[in-house]
Amino acid sequence: MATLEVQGVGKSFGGYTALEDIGLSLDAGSIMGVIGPNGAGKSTLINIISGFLKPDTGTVKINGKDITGKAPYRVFKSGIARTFQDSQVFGYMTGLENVMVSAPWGIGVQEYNVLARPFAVAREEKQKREEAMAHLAQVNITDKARSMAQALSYGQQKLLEFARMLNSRANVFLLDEPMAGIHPDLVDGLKALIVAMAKEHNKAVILVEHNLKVVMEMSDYVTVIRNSVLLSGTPDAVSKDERLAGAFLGVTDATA
Amino acid sequence: METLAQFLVNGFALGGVYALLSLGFGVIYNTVRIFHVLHGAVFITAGYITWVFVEHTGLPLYAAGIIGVAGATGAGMLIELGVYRPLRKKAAGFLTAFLASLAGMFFIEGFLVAVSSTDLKVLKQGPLSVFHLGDVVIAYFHIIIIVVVVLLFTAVTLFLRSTQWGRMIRAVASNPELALSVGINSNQVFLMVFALGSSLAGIAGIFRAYDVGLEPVVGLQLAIIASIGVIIGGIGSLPGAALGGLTLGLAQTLVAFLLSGQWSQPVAIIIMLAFIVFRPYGLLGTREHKELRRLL
Amino acid sequence: MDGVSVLAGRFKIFDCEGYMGKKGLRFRLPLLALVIGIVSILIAACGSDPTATSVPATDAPVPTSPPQVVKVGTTVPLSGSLANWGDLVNVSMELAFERANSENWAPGFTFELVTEDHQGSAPVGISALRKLVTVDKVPVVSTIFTQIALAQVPVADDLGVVLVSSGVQHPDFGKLSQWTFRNASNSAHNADVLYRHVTENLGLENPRYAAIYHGGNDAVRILLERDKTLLATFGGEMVAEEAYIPEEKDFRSLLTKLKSANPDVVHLITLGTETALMLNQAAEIGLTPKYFMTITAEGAEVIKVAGSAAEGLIYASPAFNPENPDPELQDFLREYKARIGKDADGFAAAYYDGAKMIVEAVKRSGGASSQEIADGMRSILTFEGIGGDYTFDPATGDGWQSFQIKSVVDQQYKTVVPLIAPYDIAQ
Repeated sequence: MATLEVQGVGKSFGGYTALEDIGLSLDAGSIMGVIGPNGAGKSTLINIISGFLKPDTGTVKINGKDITGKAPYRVFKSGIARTFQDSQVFGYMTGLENVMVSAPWGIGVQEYNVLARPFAVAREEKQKREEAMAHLAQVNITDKARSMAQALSYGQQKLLEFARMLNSRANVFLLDEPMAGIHPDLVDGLKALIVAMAKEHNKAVILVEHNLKVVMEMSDYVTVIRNSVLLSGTPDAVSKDERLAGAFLGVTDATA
Repeated sequence: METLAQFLVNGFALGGVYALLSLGFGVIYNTVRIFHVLHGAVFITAGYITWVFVEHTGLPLYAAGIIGVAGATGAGMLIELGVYRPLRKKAAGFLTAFLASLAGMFFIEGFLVAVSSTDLKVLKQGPLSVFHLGDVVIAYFHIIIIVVVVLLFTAVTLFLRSTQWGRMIRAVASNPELALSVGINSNQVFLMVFALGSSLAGIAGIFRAYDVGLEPVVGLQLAIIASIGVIIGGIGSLPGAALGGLTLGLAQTLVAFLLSGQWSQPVAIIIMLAFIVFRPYGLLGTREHKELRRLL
Repeated sequence: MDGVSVLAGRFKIFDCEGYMGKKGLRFRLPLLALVIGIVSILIAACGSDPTATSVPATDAPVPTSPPQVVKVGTTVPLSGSLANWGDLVNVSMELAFERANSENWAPGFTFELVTEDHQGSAPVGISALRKLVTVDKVPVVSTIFTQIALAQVPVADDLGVVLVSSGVQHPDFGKLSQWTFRNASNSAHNADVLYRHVTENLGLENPRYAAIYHGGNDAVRILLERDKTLLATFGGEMVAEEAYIPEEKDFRSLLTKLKSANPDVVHLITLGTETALMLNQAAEIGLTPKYFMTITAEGAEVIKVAGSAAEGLIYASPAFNPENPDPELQDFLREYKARIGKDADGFAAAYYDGAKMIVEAVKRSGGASSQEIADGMRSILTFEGIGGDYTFDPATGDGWQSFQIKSVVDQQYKTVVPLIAPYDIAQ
């Protein structure tokens, strides 16, 4: 049983078919690159898996559990965390709080415990804070724990997002173009971090990118979509396939 | 000089109630982004419930007061469930929600007039007991108001800063879409926020009913005061909201001292306009410059 | 990603998409319609008063020709914050007309009440008056509340309709037009009497005198002028005049300021509930001069709110005495209680008397046109009603009502001077 399983997913907006019969499956510890030209439906796919959009057809399963069409917060609690194309942080919360917020469990979530068991809540808080600090350390921004997230640079916000995902108990990470807008000096570090997420933390990572080269370097599997799945397989097999060039044909800003 | 000191004391007592009301309004506005005029209805609901219990069942004031605050909390949650949530489901805009809230406020006001007449409801008979500090007269009850306001403000701040619920509320306030993707059920958070804000309004309502009494029309009037408090304190900032309410109370008192009591209502509006023109992000606000412009 | 904004929940500030999109419009129009619908139903429900039409009496002696029906209009608040006043005075007038019809007070005429809601607002009061005159063709209208009555005067003048008030204490209401009449105590006259009571009987000659008044209204300004005239004539000094707005309930600043003026006597030109709050808040800061007011403190239950702080308050009250065995008065009190569940007060009695005077005016002039009613009213110089005795100035239509001076003593409303006769115009 694969960790994440997407079967026969289709979605149209009005008369426009954005996705048709998409299927993919992924195991813990591996990275799946999803590539395709602009408008190919990559973001739509991420939004469907994470619950932000409901598919017209098909199912999404995590660890065998059907989560199709569930609200995003339920999807998250089932174990799928995501990032957005632009970096998204809680601007008026500190770096540490940004990380801690992604752990909405424990006795502190029961509002009456705040009054009924204040000390237990306080102990749990301390533990959550320590965990969050550890995850900030993993992305090397412990020094930003007390800064407001809005004051961080774009790259630092990106790292904060990764710390937030690590802190959550999700085992599937959906990364929507994580390299977009990142300063070139930081790209290598970010790549290493993504690989570490899969290999060291044993997460299943879906990496949506239009930068073919990056995807080929990092992924264990590659799926090429243009509204439907055109190709899938190992990076080697896909890059040798002559249909790959066709996938980006007629798209002016292909970065292939 | 003694007179000025007397005014400051009066101003703090009035401002304390305003601060509580603004704090409740601010908690709700910052998170749900709804111009919750019905906050005024929640405010008077607490006072009326308490009054009914004191008057008709002879319950001691503190017990009736607890029922009153619980009633206000329930009323706030019912408003969220019965008015705002259905509107959100229909993707209604800010203005629609505001109009629905305003219509609801008029409805409650009319309802109270219909069932209980327009008479002032006061939770006590006779003047407050006072003590003298030099020439300054201070009512014990006003000390209680100020102490309770400070305690509640601290408690709310701590709750929002250092509990998971607090973080969830602030996360929704800060970035609602992202909040969804970190496992936060915004509907649940909204309900919590209404419970929190409404209980603060309820406590303010009981203070007011004990101090100077309540009548149906005061609901809308104080909902406006609460919103002005939030605007001058700085949208998005809870210390700002409390400070804004306090400032209004002091300003109204001071204007009555310097000019005349007739100016106490207009001065609230004048202060708000001055802030919108010269300092749209309020006393302590940081981000909401843009937002206020869009709001107005 | 239209799904995101919906799921994310919270309200968008000026969400253009929401406004322009079909979905938004479809949703908003029914909602708006619903709000407007509910509001108009409420207005309609409050506006139509089921008790307003009187039942024609069946046992009245039938004259040779069928009796002429005289429609009498009233503009009273049936909705808004003053709504509870509407029924209180309407029931009084109904009772008067029912009795007039059954006992045939004005042979050949029966009377019928037509009510319009003025919602406690002057503009609504004006349109209510216009409607009564132009649509219902009433020759005479009774009204309540000074602000509204004053706004109605020019309109009554234009339309040539008799405007009667049994509640307006504005000293000059009758003088404002040939069409205005009043059977109520005159606040300026009350002020004269109370001033002299306070200064002479209570031994406060040449007092340091202050006034607290609710802002704006013309009648208040006249009273303030009157105070100054009294002080100039009889001695005393105006040391402070403080205005407030009725919405305000925290008078501590105003009172603190007043305290520094150190007055002996304070004239409260205030409305009921604020009076009680002021007395409370004044007691807190130790401001305890003699307080007096020219209207009654009883309706507003001043003792209930102010308790010990109300002690010593002096006020004028209509000479209405519910203990009086007069059968007409006792019938009125019983019927009134039966219909509305509340005891009638002097105010209710005055509206009964006002209605009775309209009947008397029709009887005297034998006709029911506005001109005939006005002439009839003008011919009444004194009138004994269930709410007290009235005198009238034939030149102006202005009136005075007998009253008593009362005070709060030992937490009860006690009569201090039992009867002050209405001002005698002949003096």
